[in-house]
Amino acid sequence: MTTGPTSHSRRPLVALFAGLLLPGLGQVYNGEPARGAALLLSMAMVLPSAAWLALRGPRALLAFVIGAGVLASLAIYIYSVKAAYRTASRLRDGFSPGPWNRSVVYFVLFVFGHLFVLNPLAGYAKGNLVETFKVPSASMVPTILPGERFFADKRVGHLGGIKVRRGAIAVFLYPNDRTMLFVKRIIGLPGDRIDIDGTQVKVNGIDIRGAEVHDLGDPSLNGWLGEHQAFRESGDGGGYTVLWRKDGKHEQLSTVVPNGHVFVLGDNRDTSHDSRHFGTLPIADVTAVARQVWFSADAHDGIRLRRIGRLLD
Amino acid sequence: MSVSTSCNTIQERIVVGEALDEASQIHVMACASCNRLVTEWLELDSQVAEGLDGGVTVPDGFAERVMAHLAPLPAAVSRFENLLGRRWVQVALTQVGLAVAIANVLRFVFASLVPGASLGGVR
Repeated sequence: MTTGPTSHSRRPLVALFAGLLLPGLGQVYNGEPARGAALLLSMAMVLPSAAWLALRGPRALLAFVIGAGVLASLAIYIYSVKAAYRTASRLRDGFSPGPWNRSVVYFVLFVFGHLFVLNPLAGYAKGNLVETFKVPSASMVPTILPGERFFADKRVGHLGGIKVRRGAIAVFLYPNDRTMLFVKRIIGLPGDRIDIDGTQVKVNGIDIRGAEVHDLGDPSLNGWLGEHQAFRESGDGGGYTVLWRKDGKHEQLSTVVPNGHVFVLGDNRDTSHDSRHFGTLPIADVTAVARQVWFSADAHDGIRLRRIGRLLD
Repeated sequence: MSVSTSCNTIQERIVVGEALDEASQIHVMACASCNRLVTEWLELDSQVAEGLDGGVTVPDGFAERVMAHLAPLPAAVSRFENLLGRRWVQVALTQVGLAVAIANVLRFVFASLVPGASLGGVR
C-alpha cells in the first residue's frame, strides 16, 4: 500500500517553493539550517564582493567582473532551489523535524532574509560601490551615445573614496532641479580659471584643445562629422574627443571655479546644457564617476556590440 | 451455565433496565441474592421518584460552575477571516507572495545592471 507524505516527511514541491521564496529557505525546511544560511549569505555577498573587486581590479575588466558576479549570484539561487527539491525528495520518509521546522520560523526567516540581508546589501552596493545609469541624450557624444548604459564608481566623496579630476565624467545632481541627475565631463577643479573662446578651452591659461579629429573610429559616429568639428582635448587622466558645431555660435566665457565646486561641460558642446548655463556645481553634488559602458542600443542602430565594454575616461 | 454466572447476567440486566424473560423472573423469585437486588433497586427507584416530586433545589452558582467547565464556544468568524479561509484566496495570496519574493531576489541579482536612473530624468 502506498501512503502520502506524513507530517514528518518533506514535500519536494514545498521545498522548491521555499527555495524560490528565499535562497536557503528550502534547506531550512529540509532540516539543514546551516547550509541554508551559507547559501543565503554566499548569494547575498557575491555581488557586493564582485563590485568591490571590480573597482580595484583592471579598469577594462570592471564590466566582466560585475557580470560574473551577477551570473554567480543567479547560479547560487538556482542551485539552492534545485538542491532543496532533491534533498526533500530523498527525505520523503523518515524525517525528524528540528525546532526550526515551524511555520512561524519560516516566515521570520523569509522576512529577515529579504529585509535585512538582500535589500540592505543591494542598497549598499548600489549606493557605495557601483551603480548603472542610462543616457537618453546626445550631450556626451561621441564619448557616450544615447541609449547607452554604463557602470559608475560610487566611491566618490566617500571616506577613502576616489577624488574627482579634470577629464573625469561625473554624474551629478542638476543644480536647477535636484531631483534630476546629469552626466558631464569635469573641466575645472576648485580655483581653476576657465576661459572659453570659440572652440578653444583654456584651464589656468593652458589650452587643452588638441588636434582636429577626422575619424571618430566608428562609421556610425563619423556621421556627426558632417555638421561638426571634432577635437582632442586633454584632462588629467588622458585625452578625449569633443564635438563643436561648424555653424555654432560659440560664446566667450571666463570664470574662476569657486572653492568646493567644479566646472563641467558636455562633450557634444553645442548640444549640452552645462556649466556655461547653470554655473559651477558643488563637488558634494557629484554622486558618481562613469567607468565603463556595459550595454549600448537604440531604436535606429539596435544593439551596438562594438560599444559594449568601452572605457569612459 | 453455572448458577453464579446466571445470577451475574440477570443482575446486570436488572441494573441496565432490561425486561426479564419468564425464566429469569422465576430465577429471581427463587434466588435470595437476585431477589435482594431487585428489592433494593425498587426502593432506590421509589426514593428518586419521591425526591423529584418534592422538587429539587439547585445549589447557588451551580449553573455558572457547570458553564465554566464547558469549552468556550468558537467566536464568530469575521468576514475577513472567512475570506482568508477560502481556498482560492489562499492560492492567490500564495502566488502573489511567491511572485513578489522572486521579483525581490531577481531585483537583488540584477540591481547592478539595471539603471537606477535615466540621466536627465527624474531620479
